[in-house]
Amino acid sequence: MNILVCFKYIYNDEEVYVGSDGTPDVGSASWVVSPYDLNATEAAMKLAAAVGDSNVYMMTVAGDVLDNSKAKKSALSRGPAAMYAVKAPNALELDNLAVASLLKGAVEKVEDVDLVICGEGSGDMYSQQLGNMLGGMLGWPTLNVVSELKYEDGKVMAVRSDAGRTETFAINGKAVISVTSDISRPRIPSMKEIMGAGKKPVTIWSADEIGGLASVTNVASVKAPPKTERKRQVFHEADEAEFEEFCKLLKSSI
Amino acid sequence: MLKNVLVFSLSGTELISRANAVAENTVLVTAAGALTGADTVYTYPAESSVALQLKAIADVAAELQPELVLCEATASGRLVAGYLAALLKTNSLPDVQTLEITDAGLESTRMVYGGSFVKAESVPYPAVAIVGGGVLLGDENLKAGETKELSGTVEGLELVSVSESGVSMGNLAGAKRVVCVGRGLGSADNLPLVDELAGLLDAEIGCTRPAAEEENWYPKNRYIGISGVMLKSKMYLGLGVSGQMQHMIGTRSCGSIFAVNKLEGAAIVDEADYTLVGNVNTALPAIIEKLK
Ligand SMILES: Cc1cc2nc3c(=O)[nH]c(=O)nc-3n(C[C@H](O)[C@H](O)[C@H](O)COP(=O)(O)OP(=O)(O)OC[C@H]3O[C@@H](n4cnc5c(N)ncnc54)[C@H](O)[C@@H]3O)c2cc1C
Repeated sequence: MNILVCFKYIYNDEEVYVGSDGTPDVGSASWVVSPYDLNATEAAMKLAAAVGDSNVYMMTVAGDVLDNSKAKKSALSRGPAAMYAVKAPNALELDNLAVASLLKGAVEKVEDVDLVICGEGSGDMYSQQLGNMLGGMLGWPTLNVVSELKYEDGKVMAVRSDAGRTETFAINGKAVISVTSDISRPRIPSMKEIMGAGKKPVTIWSADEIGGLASVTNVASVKAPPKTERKRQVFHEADEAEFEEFCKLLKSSI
Repeated sequence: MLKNVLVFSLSGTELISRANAVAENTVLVTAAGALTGADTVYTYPAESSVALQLKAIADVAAELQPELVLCEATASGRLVAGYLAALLKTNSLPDVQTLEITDAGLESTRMVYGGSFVKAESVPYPAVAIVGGGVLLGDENLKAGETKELSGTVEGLELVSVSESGVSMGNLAGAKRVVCVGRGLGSADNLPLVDELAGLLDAEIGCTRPAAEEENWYPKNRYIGISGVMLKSKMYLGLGVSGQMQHMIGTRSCGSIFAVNKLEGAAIVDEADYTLVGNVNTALPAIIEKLK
């Protein structure tokens, strides 16, 4: 079975600051693989191991980060054998329609893809839409909020948990699946795996080569909202009077 | 006035009421027995799954050619929204906080970067939006239309079993007081103490995402934050909660924020009114003693 994990390079959110004009300042932020895509990668590796005789590949639409060897290693050090990428200089400005259509074109270039696995949402935009759009474009069976993937009696089983309802599906053929973060814990790669990842093959197509649809979304602004001001008073458990005061305040809230 | 609007909703009349107000013709897709109120209502069997109806819903949309699709902000709503956006060659606007339905298209705002920023964006018609409760409040405006049945199947996808957990949602979103458990609670052994404290404070219990998804201390519908429940409570008390933006965004409308954290440098100290710097293992029983 050939499994493709779609992932996004994002700015590390802990290094994205509010700029003086209220817009995101990403000047000193490093690139990371979006956190939930790491859960998706691990889920793919586990499924591949259960199925046997399977391959896991990574796929992304990204810009200049594709020239960054550390970013390459962070994607490939967790098991997958190779990476496919569509290089679009303005990748982070594309909307999901444009990204999904580039991914569709790229999926169709890779031979015999059976399953596409996506993280539920990216750490920056968290739209929770990309996998569903890709599924619609490919016309493949599409599932979201999948919290478990197993292999039973020659079939891939997917557990979809929506609020209090749990649905178990048997997948026979191709599918696009978005998985929730509780599906697996990302593995911590060893030094050897990180070094080895640098040698794994990467195939890069340009966005022009793939074609794809243009974005239709007009972004008017991205701005920090006004902050709720809090009192920020600190009490210490070790100081009896302070502890007493904290409990009194808590009691007065009833 | 728009010509055709398609709504996917399993509960609540907000979306269909607004659709009826802005469009000549409305189509509602829902589970059997869930909702009515549009010119045409397509229902699929309640024991089926929306994932099996995607092609059938896409066929309805292909024939209707709606200018606008409104989907509820649930996992099922998001699945339908993305799938139909691909068909209509548009970009779905996810989890909007505000939505303007104008002559030219949709204008919306939503939170990005875990709630640190608000993105204002617009798309022309045909357009798809994912809309949660409270965004399109207005007068109830329902039509008595005809009902048709959808009985979709998807080749290669078989629904093997369905179970309803029966886990009660409680009323976290509407609770007056909330005690929130973070990963810093350390051990499930402390959960009975949390119950006791919540009882004394007359509070509902919520948690952080890792407390639900990684520690499995509470069901997933109990976590607070950008991808979970947004609170409106008078009081919030976080126990061993680090105070990351994705979580705290869910407490922005709360009255007083209390926290217990062992680190004075924890992010929650800046986001709280009153922080007790201490160890939950000792502070929790001591607070309970004081409140008794
Ligand atoms: C796209 C995205 C969406 C997300 N959405 C959400 C969301 O909706 N809701 C959500 O909650 N999270 C969400 N998260 C996760 C979020 O970023 C944080 O990781 C999470 O909220 C942290 O949970 P926590 O505070 O329980 O755990 P931790 O970050 O592990 O913090 C534990 C805290 O407990 C303290 N502590 C430890 N031991 C003790 C002790 N003995 N006594 C007292 N204090 C102690 C520590 O000092 C620390 O501050 C999201 C993340 C992403 C990327």
